[in-house]
Amino acid sequence: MTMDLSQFYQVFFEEAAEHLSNMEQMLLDIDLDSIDDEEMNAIFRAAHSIKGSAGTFGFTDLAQVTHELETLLDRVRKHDVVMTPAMVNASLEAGDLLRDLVAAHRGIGEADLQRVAQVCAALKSLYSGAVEPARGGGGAESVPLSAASTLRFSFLLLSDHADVAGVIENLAREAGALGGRLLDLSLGADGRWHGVFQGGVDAEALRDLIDFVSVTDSFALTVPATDADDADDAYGLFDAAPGTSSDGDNAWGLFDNALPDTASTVDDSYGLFDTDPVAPTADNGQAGDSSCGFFDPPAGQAVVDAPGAAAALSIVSPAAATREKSAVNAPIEASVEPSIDAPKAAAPRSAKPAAVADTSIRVGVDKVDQIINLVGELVITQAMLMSAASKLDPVEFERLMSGMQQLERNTRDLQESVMSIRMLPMSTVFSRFPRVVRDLSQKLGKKVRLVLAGESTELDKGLIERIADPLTHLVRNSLDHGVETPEVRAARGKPEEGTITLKASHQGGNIVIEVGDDGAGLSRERILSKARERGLAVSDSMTDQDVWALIFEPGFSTADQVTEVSGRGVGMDVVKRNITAMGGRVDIDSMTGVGTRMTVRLPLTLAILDGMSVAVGDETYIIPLNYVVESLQPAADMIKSVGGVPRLVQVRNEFLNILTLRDVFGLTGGTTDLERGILVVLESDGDKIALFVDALVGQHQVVIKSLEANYRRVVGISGATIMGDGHVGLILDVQALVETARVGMAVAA
Amino acid sequence: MTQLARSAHPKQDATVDGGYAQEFLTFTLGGEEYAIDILKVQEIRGYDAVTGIAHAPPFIKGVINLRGIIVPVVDLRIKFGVGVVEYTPFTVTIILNVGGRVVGIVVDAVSDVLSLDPAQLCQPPEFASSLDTRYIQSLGSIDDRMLIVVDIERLMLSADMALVENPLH
Repeated sequence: MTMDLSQFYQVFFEEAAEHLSNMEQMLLDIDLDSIDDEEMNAIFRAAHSIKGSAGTFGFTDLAQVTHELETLLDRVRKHDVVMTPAMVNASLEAGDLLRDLVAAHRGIGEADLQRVAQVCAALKSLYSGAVEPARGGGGAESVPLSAASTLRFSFLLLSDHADVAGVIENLAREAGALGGRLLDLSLGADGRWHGVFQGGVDAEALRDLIDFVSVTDSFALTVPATDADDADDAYGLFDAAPGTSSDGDNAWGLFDNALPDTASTVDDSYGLFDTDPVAPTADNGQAGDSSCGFFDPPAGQAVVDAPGAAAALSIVSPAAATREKSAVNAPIEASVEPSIDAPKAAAPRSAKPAAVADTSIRVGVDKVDQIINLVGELVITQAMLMSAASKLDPVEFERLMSGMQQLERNTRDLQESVMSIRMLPMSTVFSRFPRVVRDLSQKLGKKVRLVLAGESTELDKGLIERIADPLTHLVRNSLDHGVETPEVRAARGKPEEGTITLKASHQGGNIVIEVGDDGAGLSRERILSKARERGLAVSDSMTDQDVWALIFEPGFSTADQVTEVSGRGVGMDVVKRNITAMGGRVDIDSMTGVGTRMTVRLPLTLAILDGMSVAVGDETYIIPLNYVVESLQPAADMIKSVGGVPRLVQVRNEFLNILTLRDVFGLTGGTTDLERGILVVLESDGDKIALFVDALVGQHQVVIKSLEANYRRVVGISGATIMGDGHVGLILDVQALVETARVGMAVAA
Repeated sequence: MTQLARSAHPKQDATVDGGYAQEFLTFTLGGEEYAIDILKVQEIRGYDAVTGIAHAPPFIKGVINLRGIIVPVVDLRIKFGVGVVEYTPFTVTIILNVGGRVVGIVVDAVSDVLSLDPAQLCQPPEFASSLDTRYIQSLGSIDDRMLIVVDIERLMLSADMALVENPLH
């Protein structure tokens, strides 16, 4: 259940540093007189990427700052506000702060909490137009909720209401009077009412409204479209969180040594979880308030209250992985008193991460490649020596012979270990998803099961690192937009629990990674109408594929509201861009009501492949082993001719098309006598053919090299590899061959 | 195109302006002597272990493994229809680095590295040959010998050589 995300921290730090320096460079280059939309998008994406990862890893302070930055950039990007030098300065300053915060998380220096608050306020004032006066206790920073904001809230309805429906109706009417709209007000499984409020009112007024009908102080904002969502990430660490307080104890057990002195406040902290299935007591309600207080001005007063403040502090310790990061939140928004304690609580733990970080070395991929190539050369040299030595008298040169054998063994071991540096199983990427899915599904109130397949598929490290972000986007997208809420699913006759499938495999010269869900599917009408809104050239006669492709347009989102999860329309174009940059592509299959499947195809370049080598004349070809069904030596009676030409072979109950590799590639060597060669039965996408070759040579793992880097695409060849003797071996594109057999040899020739 | 050609030959511009010499690698094909910009040459190696590629034109001999990189090899003797096409231990492959790609060319022999100043180079007249005059940069003369200076980058990336997916024209 517990997953150690810390193994990814190093990667995150590196990525964040990269994004930050990119962002800085772009901000510095920006020409205020003529701002290029593409540039703005790029800056925004950098901020968005940091925020996304920071949220996933629970670095709430980073996420908080980037969120403000992102909101500002988003408005500039959408031409809501005009970029001013002050904004550039503020963004740069935010970048500096982020760099310091990242350093602080790495154990270098300390996070300046005061500065976080300052920078956030500065950014806010820039995009909201004016600095909101500080409200609440202890001069806490206010969170100005802009008029267009969406508030998600929950509360406990007073039990003495006889006419619940009437009350709710009244609420909706009152909300209308306030100038907003109440959406989706429904009773959650936890006994609390959950709703979304949209429109021109701040949380304070909404609270006043709700207070009329709810248990005193039970009102809580769950996702106030600003910082609180980040907080959710941090708390997501607790599996047992939604339980009672005894469950809570179990949860604490995960972090035995993390909380020497805070266990007493456990009960209070549970009010934080809106999914709490147990009707909260008055106490819990209050704690809920205090959680609100971190992020939301109206609750500020509650924080001054002693138990509330204690609850606020208790959060510092449980968030073991997020440790000091949560602490950063506390002092910003909470009252003065706890802010003194929080850094203290965090301080002793901050020394730890630095020591762990040093167990791996980040080496440039080019250096690893160089080693791989050099080892390849070494293997060839060794093979050459071996063949030279084999001509010598083994008795006379006994010591040389044993030396040669040792050399052979050592070179092979060396080659294997060097190869393994680059190759990582897909599970290194997949392993982060159970956590992502669990946190997110909880946050969205959805039930989702994650199915992983093909985790052992090996992929080059460079690709693994670069595929992680796009995949995360796709999974989040599936969860947010694809899978429906349990209620909706039940109503549609589907199991309440949705399924998200992540599958990796080698296929036709590609690595294929599928992200599938059994959710609502994409809505053609909605995408088209949104596209028209955005002024894209679309027509009703477009094919489904073309319509689906629209969701990869920058800024395209059909989501009704912007949440932390998605809806800003930034994710998918980043996904597309990243995957295209890797030389791959994304395909979407979707059926309304049945689900959506995003298929990412990456070129095999650099990936490892289990191959079977076959010979035709003097040439050797590699067949990817996963296409090979069987090999057989045909007897004369198995081969059937059509129109005088032997075309089919009967394998048990099937007639298979015979494809002669010699003819396909126009080779001169090799045999044409079917009975003297070998038929290799290949299967691709359900179609089988029998490939005729001279002989089977062997079976080995090969590293796929690109043929296209210095040459062009060759039909029937998916790549090349270096054979043990230093020759180049060509890898067959089985999919293309099967296709060739189907449409006829004429196409291939 | 002019842009590209210029950027590919910064030294040549300098020759026109400043008048200093450029270095060339010369090789022979049959009785003809060719010269190519030495900066495009990565290395020179023997001809061995070529893996043939299906449906490639006859002058593309196949691909070789150059320290882990797959490099196509073109036999210029077949392409230009000169010299005796045979492969011996003395057959030479010049590995070129053109336009970010690595390709090998098979020639009869590598002869020299020469420094030619602009005075020794002249524009070729128009004529028809198996080598399109577009690819002949200039003709050089040294002691009664004629050197055919080939714009090797342009030649290798052209549609004629069938080496690239999107040729330079």
